[in-house]
Amino acid sequence: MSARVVALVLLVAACSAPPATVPPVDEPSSIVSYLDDAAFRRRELEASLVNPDNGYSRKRLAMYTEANWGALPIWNPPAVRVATAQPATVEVAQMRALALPSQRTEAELLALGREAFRSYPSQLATYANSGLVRNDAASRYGLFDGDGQLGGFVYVKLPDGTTSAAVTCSTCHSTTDGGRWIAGRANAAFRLDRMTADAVGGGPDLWGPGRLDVTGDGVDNPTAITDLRPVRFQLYLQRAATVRNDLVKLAIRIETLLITNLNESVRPPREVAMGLALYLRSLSESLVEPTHEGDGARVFARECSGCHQGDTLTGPPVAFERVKTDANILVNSERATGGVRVPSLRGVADRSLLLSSGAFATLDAMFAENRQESGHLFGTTLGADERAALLGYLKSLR
Amino acid sequence: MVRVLLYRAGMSTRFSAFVISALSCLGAIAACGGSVQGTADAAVDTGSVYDSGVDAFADGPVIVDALADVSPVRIPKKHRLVSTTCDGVRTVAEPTNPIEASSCKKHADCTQGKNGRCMRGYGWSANVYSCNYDICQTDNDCKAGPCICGDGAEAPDVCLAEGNCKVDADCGSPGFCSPTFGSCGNYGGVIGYACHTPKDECIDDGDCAKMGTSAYCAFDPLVASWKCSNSQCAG
Repeated sequence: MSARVVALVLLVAACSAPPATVPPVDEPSSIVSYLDDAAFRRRELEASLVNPDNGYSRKRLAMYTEANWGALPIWNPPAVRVATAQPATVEVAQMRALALPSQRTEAELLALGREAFRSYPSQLATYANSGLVRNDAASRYGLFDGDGQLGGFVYVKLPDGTTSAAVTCSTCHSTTDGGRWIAGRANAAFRLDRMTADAVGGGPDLWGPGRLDVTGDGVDNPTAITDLRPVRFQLYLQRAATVRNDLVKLAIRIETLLITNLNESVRPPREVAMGLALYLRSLSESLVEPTHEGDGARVFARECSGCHQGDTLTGPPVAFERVKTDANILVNSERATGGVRVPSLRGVADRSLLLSSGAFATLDAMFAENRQESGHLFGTTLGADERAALLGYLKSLR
Repeated sequence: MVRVLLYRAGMSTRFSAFVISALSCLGAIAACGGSVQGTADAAVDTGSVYDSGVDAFADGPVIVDALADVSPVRIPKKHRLVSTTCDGVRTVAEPTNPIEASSCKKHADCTQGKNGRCMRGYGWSANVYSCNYDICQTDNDCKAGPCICGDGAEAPDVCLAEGNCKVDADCGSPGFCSPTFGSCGNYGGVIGYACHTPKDECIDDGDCAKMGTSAYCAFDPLVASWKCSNSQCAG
């Protein structure tokens, strides 16, 4: 074959071939690998699990394969945010599926994650269909008005053509302050227990504000909704330090969470899971950098920095016996590892559910001189001046 | 009318063929004047088979007792054959020492609805009293779901709003309308009633034991059929 013929063949092939799949230069390789490489995802999953023997890990080790959860239908349904002004109105004509990016750049995925945080149905909430339309829904269930969206809820179109309420990430993990919507901050007022009880004609307020039981271990062991803003800093995810954390591991955590929340019937587009991971990691930008100067910082360094280390104010898991905060963490067969995650204290001044159980509503209460509650006793025996300095420091961590 | 149920979970192709064959034979017998009839009540007590994907069923109801002991097919343990009328009787002791935060102090304070009672909370709201009321007496008082009678004491008579049926007859003939949890599992309790379908992968909670002791069989709107689940609230 002559050189001219070869050149012609190559030219024809180039013109008729599918578009090149070379990723854009700003697409980190780990993002591409997560989206396109099943073996990579599997390795990352296995590497993320701290205790392969707990229920959370066993489920994923068994199901996170292409033949199982990977074969589920991808679910990106038409949805519309529940309007605070007219929560009973389901704007079917306004329902839209998320627009998945064509290039899958980091910027595009981040934008998708930002939208998905408030619009992707992370779990059906049929119990909310009746609750959302109550005149007193906002006050009764602790629902915020996030730029016109009631409590982060959406209405979603189901496969049979009907619609249902659904929660989004925003429902539990955002709130408002002075009318300003704050993504990632725990909704400490959310009364999921009351909403589910009302749907069946009333019942007990089991858990109280900002708490829910998310594990199917057969035990009533609610934990406080967590603050997601510092998730980028966390070395581990979940109260029991069940999962190691980085961008890809967080995306897998989100993907598998959505699958289990959706009853293992469907799975989200992986672009949505990665987008949410990128978005959650971006939320740390809103948090104040800690200072290491001043009396409060010195007290903190002496009393707290053994666990809450460096600028991230977190660190490796600690043994439960060291903190003794909430025994549910230790005995939960679904997620226990024997250790306890050290939460980053970046943003702690804005939290009102402190410790895993949400035992304290304020830092003042947690560090009160004569508090009765057990668990995490560090800093509770300080003199008045040092206590005030420490509290001042912690309250600067917004 | 014979109530012939239920669907088959994971039935093999080979077994399907057997069922089709058996049902065709029985259909032929019936067509020839054979006596394969029964009543709804009788069907509740027998292990009968229904496969809506098989055309043979279109010819009429069939009971296939012979298959009951060789397949997982059966009638659900819980299903709502007929609606009921609640008697409205609630025997509840008067509150004792309600704390200040309570919204009522005695039953007579509960005047915003029918048959009100001042009830003590528990869990997070232990010792806080509030009113609850009977919402319905029959299914006709409810919209989408059935009227579920309370326990004659603390639990009032309420309408369930979710699901797609009130009684078995709403599910076609034959059909079964069973109680189901919502996405928060047993924490949310029975949130509505839904028809069983030929696609169901479970019929009763006991079919889901492989998923753990807290697993249950529930209607999943995402697939419009019943599935095993141990899903709890999102997290």
